[in-house]
Amino acid sequence: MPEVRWLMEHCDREDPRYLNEYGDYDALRKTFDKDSAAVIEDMKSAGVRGRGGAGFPAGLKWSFVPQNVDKPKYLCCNADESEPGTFKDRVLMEKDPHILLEGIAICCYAVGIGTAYIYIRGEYPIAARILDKAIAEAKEKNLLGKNIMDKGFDLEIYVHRGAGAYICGEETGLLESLEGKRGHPRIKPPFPALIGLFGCPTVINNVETLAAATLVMRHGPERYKSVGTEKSPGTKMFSVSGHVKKPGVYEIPLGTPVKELIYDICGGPLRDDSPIQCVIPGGSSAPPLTPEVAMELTLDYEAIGAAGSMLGSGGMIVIDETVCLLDVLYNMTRFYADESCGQCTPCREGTSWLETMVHRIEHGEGTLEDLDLLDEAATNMCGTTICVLSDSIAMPVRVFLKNFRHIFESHIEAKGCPHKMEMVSA
Amino acid sequence: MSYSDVTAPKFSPEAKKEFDELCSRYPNKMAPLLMVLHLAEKEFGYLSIEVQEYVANLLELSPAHVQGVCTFYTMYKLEKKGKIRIQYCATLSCAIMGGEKVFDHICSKIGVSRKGGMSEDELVSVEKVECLGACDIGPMMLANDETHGNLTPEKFDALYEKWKSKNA
Amino acid sequence: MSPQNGNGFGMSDKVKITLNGEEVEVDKGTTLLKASLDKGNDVPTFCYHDGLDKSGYCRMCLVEIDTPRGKRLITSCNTPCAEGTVCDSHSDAALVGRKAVLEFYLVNHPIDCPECDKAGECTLQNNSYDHGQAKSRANLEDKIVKPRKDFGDKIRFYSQRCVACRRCTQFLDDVSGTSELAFTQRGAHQELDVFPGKPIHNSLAKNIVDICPVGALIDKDFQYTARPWLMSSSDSVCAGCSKGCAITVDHKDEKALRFKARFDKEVNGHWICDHGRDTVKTLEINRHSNALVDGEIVKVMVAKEKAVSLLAKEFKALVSAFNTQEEIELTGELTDKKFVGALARADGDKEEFPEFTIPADKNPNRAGVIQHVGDKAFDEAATIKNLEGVTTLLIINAIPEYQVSSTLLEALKKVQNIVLLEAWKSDISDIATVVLPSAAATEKDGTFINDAGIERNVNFCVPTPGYAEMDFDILKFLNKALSRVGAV
Repeated sequence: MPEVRWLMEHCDREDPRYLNEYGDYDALRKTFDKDSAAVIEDMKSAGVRGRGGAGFPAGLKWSFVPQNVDKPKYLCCNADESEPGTFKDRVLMEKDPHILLEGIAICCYAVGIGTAYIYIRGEYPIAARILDKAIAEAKEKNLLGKNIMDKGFDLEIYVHRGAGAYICGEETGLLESLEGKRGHPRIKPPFPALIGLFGCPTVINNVETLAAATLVMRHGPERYKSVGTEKSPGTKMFSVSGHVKKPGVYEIPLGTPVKELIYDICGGPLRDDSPIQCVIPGGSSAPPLTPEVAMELTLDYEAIGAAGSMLGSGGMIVIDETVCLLDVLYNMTRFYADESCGQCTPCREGTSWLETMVHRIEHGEGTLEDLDLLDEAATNMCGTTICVLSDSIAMPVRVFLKNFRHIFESHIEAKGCPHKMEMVSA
Repeated sequence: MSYSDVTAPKFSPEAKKEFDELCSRYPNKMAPLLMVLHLAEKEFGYLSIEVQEYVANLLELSPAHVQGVCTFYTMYKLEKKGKIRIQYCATLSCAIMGGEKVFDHICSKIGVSRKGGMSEDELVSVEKVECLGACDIGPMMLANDETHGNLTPEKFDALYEKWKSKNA
Repeated sequence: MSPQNGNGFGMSDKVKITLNGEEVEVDKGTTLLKASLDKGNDVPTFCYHDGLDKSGYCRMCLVEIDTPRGKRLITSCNTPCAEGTVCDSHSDAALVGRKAVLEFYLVNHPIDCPECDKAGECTLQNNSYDHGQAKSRANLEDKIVKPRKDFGDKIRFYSQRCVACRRCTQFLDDVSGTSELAFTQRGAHQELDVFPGKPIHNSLAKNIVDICPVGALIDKDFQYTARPWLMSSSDSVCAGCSKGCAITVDHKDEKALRFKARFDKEVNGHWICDHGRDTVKTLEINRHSNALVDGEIVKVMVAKEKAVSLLAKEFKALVSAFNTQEEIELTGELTDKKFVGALARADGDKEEFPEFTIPADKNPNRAGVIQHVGDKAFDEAATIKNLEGVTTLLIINAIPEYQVSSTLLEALKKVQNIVLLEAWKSDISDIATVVLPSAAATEKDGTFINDAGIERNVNFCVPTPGYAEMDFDILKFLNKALSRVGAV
């Protein structure tokens, strides 16, 4: 299956597609002809799943927010995109900002929300400026703001910039950050649909998920479901990076074979003389796959999940044999240790401990018992914490140990890196 | 570019206007904090202790809270950085494309140790950060707001010359 | 059971849960932690505190519950019991989980026990002993070293010992409302800190030392004074002001060394103020330890006999707001309730915090005195008038370092015979005929009535210094002796 550029139709360009090219918000116009319950039904029927990483059905999430409450309701668009290997949302926001704004408006109409914040990571200053400009021009044309399209629906969208913290991509970490605090994820329950931003019912959705709402309302749920698989319908934008000939963002139907994405679309391994050593399918939190297993899989939530990994954010990283996988793992443990918010002990101490343990093994100071300890520490980090950042490194560590144990053992035996490769991580 | 005094900070009228507009977007005085800190950083150059206390007073927050926020997020400058502030991606996709080697080159070119730092003429500073969301063009860096990818030592050298001549 | 909506008996206020295989009925809203502890199941905690709203951060109180998606570990301190909850507080998974959490705590924690003040009363030590393992498998050399910091004149902070329970930040945000502390940086490099130039010096500050579960926050005054296991603890009440907070007095070798807050729902809740806490330092300063007659040190019995001879004739009494109900009552009996008035310490500052108020009245038993002596007890002008023509006066004054006004002192000078029971020296001692050294609140039993009219007892914790005796005992002696002598 080739690429299906529904969301990315207008992303192959230098400058952003502003309103003069985007035209009217016709998907929103169609949305106003339906009542909010019907819109939510359409999203449910289309089966759009959260594209940030969790894959939770968006329509279902929207329906969790009570319709009639005494408090204001909010939408937070999660544009924090910090999962290593993921860069699809930036492309969409920089090239086609109105597709996101229109999607936000559709969601807000369906759920009864009057204020939306786009929480965009601080490291995307260009995208933030583009969104600001797009919002201003949409307001001028009565497509946002008060009494949109004279339909009596008010919506303010604000761009809120983060300042460098991966954990603010976690739903409740995002809420804490938006509220002007350190991004510490909240203890759940209560869930944001009932008690979220400023204590009010809140929907939090990824950029791509909200953009997909325009597809559903413009063309109907049936068209959305016409590609993909039964449980993973629609298209997904995959960010591919690492050792392939053509890295980049590609929108393909879910269910596309991994082989097709890597070889047909991305041109195969970067170096003809260095085969693929490892495939990380969905961002660094997704456990690594051996190439043998990976090439037999299709890119949907179920298949990747069944293989012991996850589709996640769709940030695929392909690694050939020119780098040491243990060094790769060290780079990952360092990332999570840096990004742990620090509020709960198994993650705060565990991420730090995993980093030092992997570092020691990598530099020849490890023993075989250390491998058992590494696995045990990683296991203990799962299921004991407030959020899943610790699981996000613990699971890859365990799977690295399971699928690539020989690499650890060779470092222990050689008392250092036997491959004598240049380190990728200091 | 000259900054307002970082040791005795006070928003200019334009900045105060922007501050008021930011505050109007939220229902309380704590939520605007991150955006106000971005504004203060733009206005004063970096978030010194005095600037942090100034912001705390404006928003009626405890200074300890503001300090806690400033130090939690990696982007806020808590000390002077170079005119060109390089945030260099050290995470996986960039690293496996040879990111370390280019980083070492940058450090030696601008005259700082492998830990990163600021050049003596305060033109360029470099620091390692985590994934910047541009993994297909690794190794890459943000130089202030500009993205520069597919970096090689030569490519960096050319950029450096350009910056030097622009700021001569 | 209570009627709901006037429809007769509605929903029960209880829920049924299964705890460790047994069906248990609990009040609605009870946490799984409380339900477990009430049944004698020892579930450890760090961050949970009855006086603070939020918890669940430390991950120590994990128990296992059944969910539609299988068994899971959850924090019991913030999970209410719901109808039908199935919980196992000591399943294998729960035990392993808690053990693992404790091992994580020890990854970077310094092995400071030999020099850490908290050793012996440290929650990390206790939890590790009861629920963890003896040895941490983390490498010592990899520990992230963090500095010792100064948080002001009261508190020292050992950053590396901190377990990030957030009790202190919660206290300073919610109870004192002063918010001096916040976490800086993140992850394992996270450090609690004050803002430069803004140390902690609010009057409730030392409560955070009480509630810190480890030796991270240290009371500068108490540091290195004594090991907890060498001290004994007695329950008592603070005599620093009219609030009358419940305290525990830690003492060693007959010396009171430390006051800590004790829970009293009606009076002070979970907290005490630093003024009261710091009174422990004043217990031995400027005390009477000898009996005096006409300014000369004499044997106590000699002074007592002199006192009896003076009080054999008619006398009146002047009491103080630091004396107990029992002492005042017995004094009243001795003199047929002929009180001239009462002494009190001058008001201090009233301090209002969001969840605690320190009153301006710095006397523990003003209300009690008024009960016996009357509304004008502390009216100095009235007292001076009542002193006119008085030749013999019994004064019981337990006020620490009392500053008598010059006008009252002048009036007292006109009294021919003064028998003074006094704990701390004052200018009155210089004009008294007989001085009998007496007790501080930590050295006797008795009742105070606080400013809300609530009665509370002080209890004997340490003996009086030198030849000093408890006021009540001295008064009992005088009572017995005077009846024998046949006083008017």
